[in-house]
Amino acid sequence: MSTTPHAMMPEATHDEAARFAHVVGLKNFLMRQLEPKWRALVDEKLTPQLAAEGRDAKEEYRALERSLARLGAYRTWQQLTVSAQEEMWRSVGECVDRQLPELERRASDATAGGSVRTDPQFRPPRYLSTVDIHLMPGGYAEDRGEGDVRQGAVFDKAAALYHMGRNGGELNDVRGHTLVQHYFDRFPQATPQRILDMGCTVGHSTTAIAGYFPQAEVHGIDVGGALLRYARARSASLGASIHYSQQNAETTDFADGSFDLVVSSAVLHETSFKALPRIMREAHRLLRPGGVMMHLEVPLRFDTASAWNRVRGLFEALHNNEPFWIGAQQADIAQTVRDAGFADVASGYQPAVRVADRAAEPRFTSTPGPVHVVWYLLSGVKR
Amino acid sequence: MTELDPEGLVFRDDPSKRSSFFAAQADVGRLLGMITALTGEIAMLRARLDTHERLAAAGGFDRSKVEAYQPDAAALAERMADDQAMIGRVFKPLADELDRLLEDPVVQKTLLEIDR
Repeated sequence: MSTTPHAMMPEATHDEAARFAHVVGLKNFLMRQLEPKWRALVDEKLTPQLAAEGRDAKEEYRALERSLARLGAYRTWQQLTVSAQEEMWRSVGECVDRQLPELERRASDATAGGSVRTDPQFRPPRYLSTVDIHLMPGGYAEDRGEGDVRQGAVFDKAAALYHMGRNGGELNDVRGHTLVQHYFDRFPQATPQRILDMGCTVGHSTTAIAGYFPQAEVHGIDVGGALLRYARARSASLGASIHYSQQNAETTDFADGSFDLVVSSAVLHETSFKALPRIMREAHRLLRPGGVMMHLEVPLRFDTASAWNRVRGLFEALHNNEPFWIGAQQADIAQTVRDAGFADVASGYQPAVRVADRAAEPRFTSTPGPVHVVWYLLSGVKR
Repeated sequence: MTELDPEGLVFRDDPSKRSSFFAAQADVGRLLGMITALTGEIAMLRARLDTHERLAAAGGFDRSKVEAYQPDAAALAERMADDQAMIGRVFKPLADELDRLLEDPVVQKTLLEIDR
């Protein structure tokens, strides 16, 4: 059996650990050995040939994608990419199901620390319910009822594989530390008393953030009861008391001015054009005057994406079930923040850190960088 | 359908269906899914064999020692390299085809005959 970073992480047998390592290896092969060849074909061969005819491959990425799909090799690459993702969920699901009663027992035993409030009447928004995001069977919302933690356990174990060690290993908390570093870069004196994490899933970032502000009351909201029960037990076993509730970030039941700090971590690209301004207005309502909102997102923009990156983005949207992947990269999210009434809006890139340091020289920058090396950060203050 | 809807979302024509890249030959898609799973089983067996060999070298073992075995960083790195080599061998026909496409101006020209 492998060692685990906290009491709720599913344990892997010898053979399960070997299967997981192989799924990561297969994803690595598809991403680092095969994908660069498609990138070279589209960006280095086809794009210049189109340009010679006075055409722009970036503008014609949809037609290029249809053209590529006529190649058996392209369809095979697509299918293998989907199969590797499905194999990840299958192998993790099998590992979780083998020990689910024990995980549920641990979740119910871990009485110290935090709370969970679920809502049987809750319905997730269309952008999360139409397809299973990331091909995760059941999606974020699946819940088998009282005591169920399966979706949280599957998500936690798979996320550690999905990020392939680039988001803080099994704790998957680099994004939480990076959010706090952004906060320290902009507001080095701040000591928030009440914090909300919107779209917290199993509390990867929430728990990391709570660690910097031990005096604060920390809340996390998401759409799935099984995710949230798991999240509470996971946080508790890591020493954090966090209050989780099943709510939609567009319309929560918290009172006006409830929080000093409202954040989200890689959540906005799972929403929609309609939801974005609603989430910003809700965050504005929830903050007290002087409170701060911060959103962390993938550092990708559609206007600067090459033809291959656009084709790849379309594949991600349609076949890894990320319906807002392209829309989010086209949206002027900073403008929705200003429109919601926020002042001192900052929009740029925060280098990823494993530990945030209040005294560190600020490194927030307007220079983009690769995913996992930097994150896009958007923040504003309620006046 | 690849246009964003008014909410900025894009879905497959029938989002309830599994992706089908080989609509006319669904068996090919399923076969690739099976090959993907099979490489996982090969990887698992290789890891198990590696554990046996390393424990044998250390002198004497039984099933419980195999289950409890934790490869160190060097052993993990060797396994990962072996796994990448195995994946490279199994999927070599696809990598070779990609290399060929990169050097094939005729196919590239065909790809550019796109309906705008």
